[in-house]
Amino acid sequence: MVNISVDNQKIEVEENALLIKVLQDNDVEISHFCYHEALGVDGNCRMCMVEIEGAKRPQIACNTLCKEGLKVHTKSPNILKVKQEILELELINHPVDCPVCDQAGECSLQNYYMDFGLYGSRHSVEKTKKAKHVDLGSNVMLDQERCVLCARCTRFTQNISKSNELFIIGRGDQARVSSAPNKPLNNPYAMNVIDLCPVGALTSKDFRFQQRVWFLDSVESICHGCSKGCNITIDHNTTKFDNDRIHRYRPRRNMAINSYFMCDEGRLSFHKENKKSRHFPFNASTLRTLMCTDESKKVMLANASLSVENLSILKLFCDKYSIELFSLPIVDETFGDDWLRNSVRSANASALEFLEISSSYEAFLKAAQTSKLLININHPLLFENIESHAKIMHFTTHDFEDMGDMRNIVSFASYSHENGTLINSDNIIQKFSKSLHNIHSENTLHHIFTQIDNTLYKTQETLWSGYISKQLGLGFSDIQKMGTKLKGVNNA
Amino acid sequence: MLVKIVSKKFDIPNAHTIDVALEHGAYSALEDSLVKEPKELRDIIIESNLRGKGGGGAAAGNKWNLAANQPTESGTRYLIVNADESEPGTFKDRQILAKDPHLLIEGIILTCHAIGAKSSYIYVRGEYEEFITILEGAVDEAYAKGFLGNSKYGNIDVVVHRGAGAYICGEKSALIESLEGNRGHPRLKPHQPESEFYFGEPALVNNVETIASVPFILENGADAYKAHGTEKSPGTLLFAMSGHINNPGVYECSFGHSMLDFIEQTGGGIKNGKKLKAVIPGGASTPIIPAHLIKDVMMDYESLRSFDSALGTGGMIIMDEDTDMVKALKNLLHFYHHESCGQCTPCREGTSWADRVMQKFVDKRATYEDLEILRSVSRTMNGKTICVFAPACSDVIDGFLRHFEDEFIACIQEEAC
Repeated sequence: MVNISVDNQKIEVEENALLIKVLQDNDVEISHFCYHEALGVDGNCRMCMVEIEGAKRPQIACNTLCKEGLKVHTKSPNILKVKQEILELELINHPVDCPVCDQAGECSLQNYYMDFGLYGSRHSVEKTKKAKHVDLGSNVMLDQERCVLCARCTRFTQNISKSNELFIIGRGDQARVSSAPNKPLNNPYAMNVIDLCPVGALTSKDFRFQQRVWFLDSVESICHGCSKGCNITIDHNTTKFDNDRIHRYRPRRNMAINSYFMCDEGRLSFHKENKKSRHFPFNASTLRTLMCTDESKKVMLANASLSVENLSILKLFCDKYSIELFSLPIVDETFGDDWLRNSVRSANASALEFLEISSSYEAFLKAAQTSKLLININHPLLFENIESHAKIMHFTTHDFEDMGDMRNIVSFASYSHENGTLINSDNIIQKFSKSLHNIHSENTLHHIFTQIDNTLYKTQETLWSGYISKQLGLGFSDIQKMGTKLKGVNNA
Repeated sequence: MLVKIVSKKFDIPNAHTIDVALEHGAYSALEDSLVKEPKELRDIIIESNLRGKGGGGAAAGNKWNLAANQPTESGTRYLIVNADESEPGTFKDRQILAKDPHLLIEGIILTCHAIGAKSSYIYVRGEYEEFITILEGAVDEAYAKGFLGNSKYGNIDVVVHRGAGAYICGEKSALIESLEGNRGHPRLKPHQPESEFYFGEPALVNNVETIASVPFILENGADAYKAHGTEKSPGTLLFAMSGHINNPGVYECSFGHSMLDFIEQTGGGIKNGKKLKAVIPGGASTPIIPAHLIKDVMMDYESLRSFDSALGTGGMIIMDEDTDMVKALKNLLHFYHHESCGQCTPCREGTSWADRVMQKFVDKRATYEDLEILRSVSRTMNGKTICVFAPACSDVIDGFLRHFEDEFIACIQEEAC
């Protein structure tokens, strides 16, 4: 460990730690475009200039290593002037079309201009003209004129996705990002370049022109697309005469799980959450009569993407009324890869073991054949026509094809309508939060089943303290912000 | 004043063929030097104080030691000869490639031995097509005669690689990137002195003329080399003269002579009996020196430094009294605008802005604010980029504004009337 001083504040850091990382970790604002923790140092934007005592010239923080006694100034008048001059150069050929730019409001160029720009334009010559509508593929649109050539996107395709679709072509002020002819951006993680882009050069075809970002409410959540449990931010809002809608998912940094990224399929999975669905209200006494009074054999099939809380309440309910509970995780071998995409597509598949819920397909089929009533909690298997003479009761979050006898359908709130926890494929338990509020929000599974049987745990808190914490071996408050690794069932 | 060390065989017809070259003493340094320990050879080079002749003028011996002492697991080291001569006003290396390529190959064999390299690359500017043909012929002959390849001279391999036309690939780290098949972008400077790396293995990058000076030094000893030139700038340089001069060309001259004498005696004075106005002393990237200072300028690194300029590559551009300095700077800035690699912001945007502002001067549309922009862009480009391209451009602008500001102001006032 060595001692350095940043703006006269003493900081103890690892020797040879990267200065820009140290500044970021200590919440010292440091302007930059090209440096990114996941992509490493490139040193091209020259915006992270700092003054180092003893050095002749300003140095870039992203290529400075911390040594004992290093004295750094990030806000001296000289440095502010240098940054202002470099920012001016970034902006001379920039189209300054913020009013129609989707990045406006979350643009580094804008932010830095508000921090230390604020000069009138001195630029009196023609600007460099480049292409403004380049469809790179995979929902990524490029505006070359807005680009600051930080090379984050090209480094992503080179070093992270290793698919090498993007390059910088041309020299000097003609340099621009491009893909090779007839080789569009095509990899399952392509849309991450949109988040990486610090300016409005790369925008999402899916999101562009939909919303101004400052109208969006952001909620921390977990992607339900597979069992990896990538951390996401849900951006949603209610526009006039419309329902509360999700407008985008963005990956949220969690170094233990997804670092800064997520796959495109997960990113676009919010469209399913937005899908307009009819609302089928429930009648507690009818359901009670159907599920709780009859002695005949009943089988429940729950979707393994339900939260720990919902699976628990189903488990308690089924145990009490001798309903056989199954949950079959959905596996898609073609989806998985060795990075963020897991072939187990059910977000909470790992919880089944902890909650002692059977996931045996054979046992389910056997039980289903002899059962009089099949209760389907949003599992796609039962939405297909399976051969069974049993009556099927559907609990569903969204409309599905061939809905048949609609008297047997109950709507309940999908994951974005409620708080909950998920256990991912690495047995890391993580919380996610409620974002959407609409007509479906009231009817959470928890609400429905506690209405059917009001002796069950009324709230998530009592459910946790009474049942879940025993099953998992930890309390709700023990779950860290970035998730907590659970001990496996066998070595618990 | 004129010496013949590197240019020894320049005047001999067909010296680029191995038979003629051998008749005139090519490869004569090999027998004695290759039996010496590599360290011994490096010590002779350090002792000779040989300075890199690609423009920077850094001590060559230190670089050799860095490349030779850099730990490497595989034991592989490379020598890369920088023949990407693209600096406006500089055309000395091509003389060696065309007139005496075997001197270069001899130097390569010796240098490889001194740093423990087995493979070497000659990175030649792609536009030098006819010189590449000659060089490739010479390399083939050297293989055939057993100087290269499987031979008693250390099994050295030489590969001639053609550049694709980017000026920046003359910067050593960009050159290596280009040689590795990447975009020619300079690399970030290391945190401590170390060699260059080619595919992760230590590499030495030296200019053609530096390597071509090696056989003489190793054959005749450091003192023979130091007998020429000054104490701090020993030896000779291939000085080139172009522009408004009677005898343009490449002349080998020892360091430390008067620039004015050189222009007048060797160069034969200014064309058409005109007066000298200014000299760009060492390739386009060195700041211009006006005529009234030239009489005191000596042709060595230290003297030119004291005039806020640099010796660079020794490629002098001579300008007569009729030269329009505004147009001259515009010409140069157009070059920098065109050749900036575009990696760092200050250079990418600064060179283009400066060039466009200069167009305003040429078109007589400029204002005093444009002069101020030129100054501030130059300041922003100086010392804030990965490589020295932008600082060089900045020096060029500063040089013109320092010595010929009146011409720029006249341009502005002409517009005003």
